[in-house]
Amino acid sequence: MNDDLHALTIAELSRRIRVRDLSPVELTQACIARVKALDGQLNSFILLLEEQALAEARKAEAEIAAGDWKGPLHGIPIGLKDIYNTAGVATTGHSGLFRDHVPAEDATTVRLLREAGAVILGKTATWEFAIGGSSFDLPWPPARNPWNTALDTSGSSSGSAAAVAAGLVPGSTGSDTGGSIRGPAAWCGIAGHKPTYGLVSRRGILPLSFSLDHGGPMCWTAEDCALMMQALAAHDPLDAASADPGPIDFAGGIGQGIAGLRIGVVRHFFETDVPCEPEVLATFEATLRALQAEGATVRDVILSPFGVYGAVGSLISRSEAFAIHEPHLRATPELYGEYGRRRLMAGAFVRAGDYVNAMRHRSRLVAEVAEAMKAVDVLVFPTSRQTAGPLGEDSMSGRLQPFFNRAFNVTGGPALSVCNGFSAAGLPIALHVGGRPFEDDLVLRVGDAVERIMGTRTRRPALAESLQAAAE
Amino acid sequence: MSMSFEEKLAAMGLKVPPAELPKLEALVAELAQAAEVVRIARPYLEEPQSAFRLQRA
Repeated sequence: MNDDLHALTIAELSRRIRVRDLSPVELTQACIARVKALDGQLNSFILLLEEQALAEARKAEAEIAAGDWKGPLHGIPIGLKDIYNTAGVATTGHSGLFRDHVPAEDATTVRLLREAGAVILGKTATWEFAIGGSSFDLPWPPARNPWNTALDTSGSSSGSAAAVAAGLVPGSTGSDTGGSIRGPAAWCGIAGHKPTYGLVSRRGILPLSFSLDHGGPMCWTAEDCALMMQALAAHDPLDAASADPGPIDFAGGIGQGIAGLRIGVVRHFFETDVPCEPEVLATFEATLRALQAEGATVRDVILSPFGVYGAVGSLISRSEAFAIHEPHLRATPELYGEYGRRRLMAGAFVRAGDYVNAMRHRSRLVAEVAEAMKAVDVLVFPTSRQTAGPLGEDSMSGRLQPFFNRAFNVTGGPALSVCNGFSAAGLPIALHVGGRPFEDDLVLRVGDAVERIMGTRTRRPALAESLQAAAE
Repeated sequence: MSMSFEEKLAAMGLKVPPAELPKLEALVAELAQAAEVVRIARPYLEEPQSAFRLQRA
């Protein structure tokens, strides 16, 4: 991108656009050029909407020139996970089953982004229907990790994470049913925010699990996630799960630090329930010390074992996903990839009583976290027990799954993954911050403080830089 | 006589390539283990959140 625009955040780009130091057209052209130059190595985009994006950028430029600046997303290119419906533009779920699926209208979230003046750059790769896996048997290849293209991005919001990390687009959307925003955000070294359940409309996002699906932003920084949330969070009367909590100033705590905040550490999750790799643990402890030095207090918190959260989440999500996909699984199972077919079909075997019990147990877990959070303001633990794994292995199989995200899908509270360090091999490590329902602003404030204190936002994937140099 | 895993799938109108059966069966076994976690005794009145309630319009 010209003038190193690819290394700027939405906040920085927006400031320049607002004072007309940067043209949305120039920025969009730079993003398109960078996608064309680099994405052959990353496969982060399924569809680049070049002409449409340039038209939207020209419109934004004219509006801003006329004094009608709509806010921080005005003129900012955004990628959409390809499960977000786009009017007249294919929304495939990265699946052969939906290869020709062209929605008649935008998802509510896409409409809100357009109303905020965002430029829709294209549709990003995903695990099939947000559940499949990094698969090679789908119509499009899996996204690759910009920090090392031999490695997995994780998922399911794989393309969004890779594209933002590589600086192809400053922000993107993801969805998170069992960690699908925060997992790839962690492995790709970006910020990913799973909002409080109901805060972001699900309408027009291809469903996976009725009671666990969350849409949300994926950006280079927590601050940028906050800026995207200002547009994405809105009550949607056409979404039965939509909440209406009143105004939340998502960016209000950015730059305010963490002095006086009470931080709870769910230590048993990552020390005894599913032990972390030593580098991840060391980075986590260094982060805690740094937060304490900035004035936060830290105490351990005991919850149910992580496996209980995982069990409840799995039973609910598999049951609900099967209910959604059953007709297609019966009629045309061959149109799914192997991972997606297997993960969706497994839900057929969950007994009705077990689904009901899982929902009942979920209520207990919600109450348990609410009680624990009377004594602390946020809960933290590593997002992932390890750094990115090899592409081509099924990272989500087996009992030692890499992520701790699921607890906050089950409870519905706000959660954020931010980069808090790097391994000796130069791979990102991430911290998970969870909060009380509708305190997304506080979670984003803590994530922003972590990024600033740990100094992780000045380091971009070296591979992306070398590819850039080769392209010039 | 108990049904094979493949027969259980077929009874639900589902079918996968034979090579995928072992991994699907393993995943189903993981879910069965998960179900054991939530099969605990609970008082009938414990979960008002799960109760079906109507509200006066």
